[in-house]
Amino acid sequence: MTASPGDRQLRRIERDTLIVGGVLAAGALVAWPAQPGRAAGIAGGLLLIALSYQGIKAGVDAAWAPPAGVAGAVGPAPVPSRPRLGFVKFFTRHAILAVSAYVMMARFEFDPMAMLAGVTAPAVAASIESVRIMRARSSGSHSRLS
Amino acid sequence: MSTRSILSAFLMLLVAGLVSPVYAQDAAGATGTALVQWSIITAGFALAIAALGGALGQGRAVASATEAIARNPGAAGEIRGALILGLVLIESLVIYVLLISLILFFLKPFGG
Repeated sequence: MTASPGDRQLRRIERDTLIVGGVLAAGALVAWPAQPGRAAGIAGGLLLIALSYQGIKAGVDAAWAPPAGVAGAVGPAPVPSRPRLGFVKFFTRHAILAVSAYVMMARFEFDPMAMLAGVTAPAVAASIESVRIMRARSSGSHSRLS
Repeated sequence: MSTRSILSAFLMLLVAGLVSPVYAQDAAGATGTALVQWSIITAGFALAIAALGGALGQGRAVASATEAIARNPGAAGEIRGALILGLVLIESLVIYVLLISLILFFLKPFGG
């Protein structure tokens, strides 16, 4: 089964998010070597947004996985093997996020501002992807991205 | 329950929330304590407003995606990808506010 352009775009954004988060964490370690809580905070923020992403993706996959054999479907998403688990992840994600953030901040004492920076990583990745799409369109090679 | 009743209840809650720190202050009226109380109240309202805005935005996104998939099932894959990305970006804004609220609730940057 071939992945749809939307799936490929999501894969690129996931990859870019990890790269942005890694660069931010490495930068924090280099800039403040005596304060590892900052780099840990960025990783914590990245973990929070990853939890949120997984919850949303599981819920959307469980609800909108197109049936096999839809006429003209461009690479339908795989039907999740356990849709019930997807819905559980989707509807409990805010509780999981709140508990995780509390543990990171109050117990592990991660730097809160660094956590905010970590949460920003997917937005930066989405910006990178939009710039990539605009550049591909302007150079007339849109098929390169699809 | 009519809209007016809901609005009245919300306004009463708002007024109660605004007034309660005044009664909670000690006789000395320490500025720091009042600041902490206000910061906690602000954090609660900020989280509520962020949840409201996020829920409205996500609801609109899901409704539009559902309609688009119903009109053109062939584009379901692309719509699904855009929907997930949009929901995550909306959610990240709510997580910002959640983190700021947790900072105000538990780390108490204004003392207390």
